[in-house]
Amino acid sequence: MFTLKYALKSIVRSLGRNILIAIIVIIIATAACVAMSIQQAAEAAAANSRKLMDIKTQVYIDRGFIRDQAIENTGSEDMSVLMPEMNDLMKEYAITLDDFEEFSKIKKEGSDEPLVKSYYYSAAVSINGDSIKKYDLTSSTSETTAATEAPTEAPVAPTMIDPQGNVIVQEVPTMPAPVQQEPQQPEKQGDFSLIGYSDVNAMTDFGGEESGCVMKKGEQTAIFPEDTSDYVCIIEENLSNFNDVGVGDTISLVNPNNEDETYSLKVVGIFKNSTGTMENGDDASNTILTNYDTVKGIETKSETTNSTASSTASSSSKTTDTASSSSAGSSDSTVETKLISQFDGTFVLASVEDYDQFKEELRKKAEDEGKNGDMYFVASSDIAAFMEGLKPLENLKSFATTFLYLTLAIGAIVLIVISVISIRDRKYEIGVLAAMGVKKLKLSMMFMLEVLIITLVSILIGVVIGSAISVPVTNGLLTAQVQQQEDKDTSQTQEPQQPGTNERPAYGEVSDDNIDYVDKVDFSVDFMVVLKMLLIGIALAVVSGFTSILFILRYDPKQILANRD
Amino acid sequence: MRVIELKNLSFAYPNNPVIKNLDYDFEEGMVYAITGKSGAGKTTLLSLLSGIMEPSSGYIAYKGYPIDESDKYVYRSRDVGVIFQEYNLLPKFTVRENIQLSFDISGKKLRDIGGFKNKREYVDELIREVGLDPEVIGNRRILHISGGQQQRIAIARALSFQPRVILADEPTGNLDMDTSSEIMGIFTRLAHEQNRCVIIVTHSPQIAELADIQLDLQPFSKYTRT
Repeated sequence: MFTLKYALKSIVRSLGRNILIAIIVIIIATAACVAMSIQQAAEAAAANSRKLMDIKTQVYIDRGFIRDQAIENTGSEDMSVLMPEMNDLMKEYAITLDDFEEFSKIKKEGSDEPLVKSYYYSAAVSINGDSIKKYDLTSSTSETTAATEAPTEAPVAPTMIDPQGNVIVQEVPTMPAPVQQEPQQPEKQGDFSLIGYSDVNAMTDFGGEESGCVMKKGEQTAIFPEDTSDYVCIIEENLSNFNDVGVGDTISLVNPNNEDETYSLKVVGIFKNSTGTMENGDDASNTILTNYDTVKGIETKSETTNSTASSTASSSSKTTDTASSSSAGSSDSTVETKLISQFDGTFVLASVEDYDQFKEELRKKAEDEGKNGDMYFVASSDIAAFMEGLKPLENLKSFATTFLYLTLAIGAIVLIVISVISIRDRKYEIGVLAAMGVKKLKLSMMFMLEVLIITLVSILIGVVIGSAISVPVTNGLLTAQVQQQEDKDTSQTQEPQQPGTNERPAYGEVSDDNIDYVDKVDFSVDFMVVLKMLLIGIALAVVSGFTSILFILRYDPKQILANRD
Repeated sequence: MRVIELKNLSFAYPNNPVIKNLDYDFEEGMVYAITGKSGAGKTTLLSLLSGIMEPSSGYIAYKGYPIDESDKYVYRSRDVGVIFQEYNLLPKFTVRENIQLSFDISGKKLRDIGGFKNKREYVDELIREVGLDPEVIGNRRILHISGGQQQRIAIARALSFQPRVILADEPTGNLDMDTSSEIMGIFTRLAHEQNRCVIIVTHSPQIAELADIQLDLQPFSKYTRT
C-alpha cells in the first residue's frame, strides 16, 4: 500500500517528466494499436473466408501430370512429339460423369456424411443451325456455312489477345487447365454452342444484369421439363431477334459433320446476356441453353446415326479415336461425324476445411487405385478470388507487423533511456529512502510501479486514440495497397507469362474481374487487442523497470548522500 | 539502561584506518555529544551507528543483539532515527508528507503510538513538538522553508516512528546560536523526558557543553569522556 501511495505521489510531484514519458508511450501505443488492428482485421478477413458457404470446386486432370507422363512415355521433351501423346493421355484420363458422381460420394473424415454438399454439371456440344442463322453483326449477311468453314476459335481453350491483336496460346503445360474431358473436337466446329445443364444451380451464368444473364421471357426452370423426351431450349435475345424466333417456336439444329442429322428444340424462354460472353468464353448470343439429358440424348442419337453411317460406309470404319484425327476435310469414309459433348462438373463444398479434405481424399483415392496422387487438380475460383482479394490486406498486415516490431523496439529503447535518466536524476531520493530503511528491492518496486502506472494509463489513452483512428488509417493504407495491386495485375495481364516462370496457383486461376479486393475494413479494437496492448505495456514497463533496478542495486546510500551535489 | 554497545569496533577505508577497536556503551535517557578534530571519524562512527555503513570488524549491538545484514533495514526504519547534516529531506514533498513518509516506511501503525485520530493529527503534533506551526508550514514544500525549519522538520521526521535512539550529524551546523540552543533543548527533553538515547556529532564546544556526556574522539579511536 505504501509502495503504491508513494508511486502515485511521485507521479503527481514530477508531472512534467511523467507527461513527457506519457506522450512518448501514447504515441507508441497508438501506433502499436493501429498495427495490431490491421493484423486483427487481416486475420478476421481470412477467418471469414474459412466460413465461406458454397465453395464451388472443379476437378481437373493436372496438365503437369499429363506432361510428365507424356515425357515418360515418349522420352522426348519436344512439344511436337509431346502434344499428340498428351492429347491421348487426356482422353485416357478424362473425368466422366461416373467419376464425377463417385467423387461426390467421398465421405467426411470419421463420418458417414458426404463431403460434397451438392453438385451440378453440364455438357456442351458444338452444333450448327438448320432453321436459324448464327448471330453475327459484322457479317450478318453470311450464310450459315459452318460445315465448310474452318473453326476460327476454340471456345474453351484459354487464350489471350496481346495488345497487337495476336492470339496468344499459353504453351505452359504445368498450368492446370479445364481438361475434365478434353474436347474431342469433331472435325468441324459448329456455329452454336448447345449447353445442357443438370439443374438450375448449374446455370451459373444467371447471376444478374451486372454479371451475366437474366431471363427476358419465360423461366430458367422451363428447360427442365418433366418429360425430357421433348427437347426444349432458351436462346439469347439477339439470336431471337436476328432469326425472328420467339417463345413457343421450334428451332432446328444440325450436326456440322452430317447434314442429315437434325434436332428440333422448342424455344421456352429468352435470356439476355449483357457481357456478350458466357462464363466458359462462348459467344452468348450464339449459345443455346437446354438440359443435360437433351445434350446427352443428342449425343447418343448422333452416335447411333454415326455408327450406322460408318458401318454402311465401310466395314473397317468402326475405328475409334476420331477426335485426334487430323484428317479434317478428308474424303475417307472412316471419318466419324458423331457429336461429342464436353463435360463440365462443379462440386459445392460447405467450408474451406471440407475443400482441403476433399483435395486430400482425391489424392488418396488416386493413390489407392495405383494412380499418381498428383493427377487431379482441384480448383475453386471462389476461394482463389477471395484469397486474391485479401492480398492488399495481407500486404498491409505484413507491413503492420514489421511496423509493430519496430515501434516496440524503439519504444523499449526510449523507455529504457528515460528510465536511466530518471533514476540518475532521482539518485538523491533513492539515497534518502535507503538511508531511512527502505530495502533496495522495495525501492525498485516503487520505481517500477511508477513506470507501470504511467505506461498503463498511457496505453489506455493510446488504445482509445488508436481505436478511433485505426479504421480510417487502415482504409487509407488499404486503398493505396489495392491500387498498387490493381496496377500490378494490369501490368501482368499485359505481359504474357513466360513459360516456366509461373507457379501453380493454390486454388486455381481466377480472372481479375472476379476479384473483389478487400478495400475497406470495418472493425473496432477488440478485447484481444486491448489485452495484447496491456501485456506489451507491462513488458515495456518491466524492461525499463529492470534497468532501474540494476541502477538502484548498484547505488550505495552513504555515497549518494555524501556526494549530494 | 544500555541501548547500544560498540564491541571492538573497527572501520577502515581502503588504506585508511579510521576507527580501531572501539568499545563503548550508550545508555537511554542521555544526550551524548561526539566531538573531535576533522578526520577523527565522527561522521563515520555515526554512519556505523545508523547502519548505513558496515564495520570492518567488531560489531554494534542494539538492546543486546548485534545488528547484521538481514535486519539492518528494520533497525534503520524502526529503531534509530537519523538526522543528517544536510537534513536529507525530499524536496518534491511537503513538510507533512516528509514526516508521514518516514512513519509509513517504519511500518508502525497509529495504534502503536496511541492518542491520535489520524496520521495528520499525529504529524501536526510532531511539527508542534519541534516548535513549528503545522497550519503555517505543513503544506509547504521543503524548498520553500528556511534551513532552521528544515532542521526541525528533519528532527520531527526522525521522531515520527518513536525510535529509542536518535542520531544527529551536526544538527546545529548551519544555525545561529539561539536556534541551536532551542534544538539542543528539544534533544535534552527527548532524552530526559522520553528516555531516549540521543547521540549528536558536533564540532562546536558550546553545543557539546549542553550534552550530558561528551566523547572527544581522537584518531584511531581513543576517546576521552567528560
